Amino acid sequence: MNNRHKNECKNKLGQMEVFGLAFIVILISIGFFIFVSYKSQQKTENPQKEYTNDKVANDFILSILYVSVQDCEEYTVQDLIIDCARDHRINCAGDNSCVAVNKSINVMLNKTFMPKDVNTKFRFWSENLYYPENTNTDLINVTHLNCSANSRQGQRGVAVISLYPTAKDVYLNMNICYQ
Amino acid sequence: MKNKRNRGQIQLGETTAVVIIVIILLVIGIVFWNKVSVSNVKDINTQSNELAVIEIANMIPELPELKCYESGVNKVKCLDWYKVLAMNASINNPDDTSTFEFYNTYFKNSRITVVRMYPEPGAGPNNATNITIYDAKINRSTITSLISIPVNIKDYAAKKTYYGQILVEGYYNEQ
Repeated sequence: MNNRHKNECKNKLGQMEVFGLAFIVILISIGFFIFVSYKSQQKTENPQKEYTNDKVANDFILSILYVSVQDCEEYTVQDLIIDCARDHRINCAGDNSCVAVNKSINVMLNKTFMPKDVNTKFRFWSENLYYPENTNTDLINVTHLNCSANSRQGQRGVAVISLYPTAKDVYLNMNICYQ
Repeated sequence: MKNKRNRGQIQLGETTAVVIIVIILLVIGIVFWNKVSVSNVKDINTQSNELAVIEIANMIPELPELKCYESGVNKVKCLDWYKVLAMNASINNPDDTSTFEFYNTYFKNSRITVVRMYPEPGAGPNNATNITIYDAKINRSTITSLISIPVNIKDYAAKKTYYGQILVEGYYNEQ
């Protein structure tokens, strides 16, 4: 009678172990499914977005430098930047070179990155191009849709404009932020 | 004798339950795997279509039939406006489709537009703001992917350099 009772107890213990093991296996399988489904939902950035964020900023900055300025077509944007930083001689339809260059860059930024169907997050700023003179205020500092230095952004576009013979350079910078 | 039969029945029930659970898990696994792999194939397809559009967009400013004449290495992407006009006339010539067919091998199912944005071009026959130089005219129900590249557009006759964009739309069917 005693032996029979012992055997029954052993059997019950064995059954419980088997069910415990099965329970653990089921839990691990469910965990695995959840993990894989989560991973498969995390889509990688599409190539189009990556291209825009990494290449367009640099292409834009390099292109605008050689563009003829509206109402002042004998000069390029680069000529006006150099004049604004150094000489202050050029006048475009009543505006000095600093105001004219600021206007023209803003028009190009507006037309390229701000239309409703494009609406790109970006920031564009100049360094060593102070206006009004003798202040520490940089002439251009445009931010669209809260793109800041802390936002996730693509490669920076930079143009260096030499002010030779002065030992100074003007920098134009642009970053496109991820949406 | 009765006890042994009972125990045997219980064990058989357990084995059956385990087999059923394993089969259910396998079925769920197969269904799940199928869904994941289908979405992966779709992603890869979309990515390769977008890469093809990027490739076309990068090819255009390097074409000698559109590129500006500059000596030395030129870092800025630049198109000659009169070459753009000539290419437009040649590709979209309704009497001779040979040029369209030639470029079709490079530009595939896409639409390519050159836009002059700044300064405003004046009035005149050659002063359009945008020109669609190539359009594969696939039906519009297909999905499009758009890439725009900032470029300089030179008008050597007027001695002006415009800021503009090359817009490349790639058409592809969603699968």
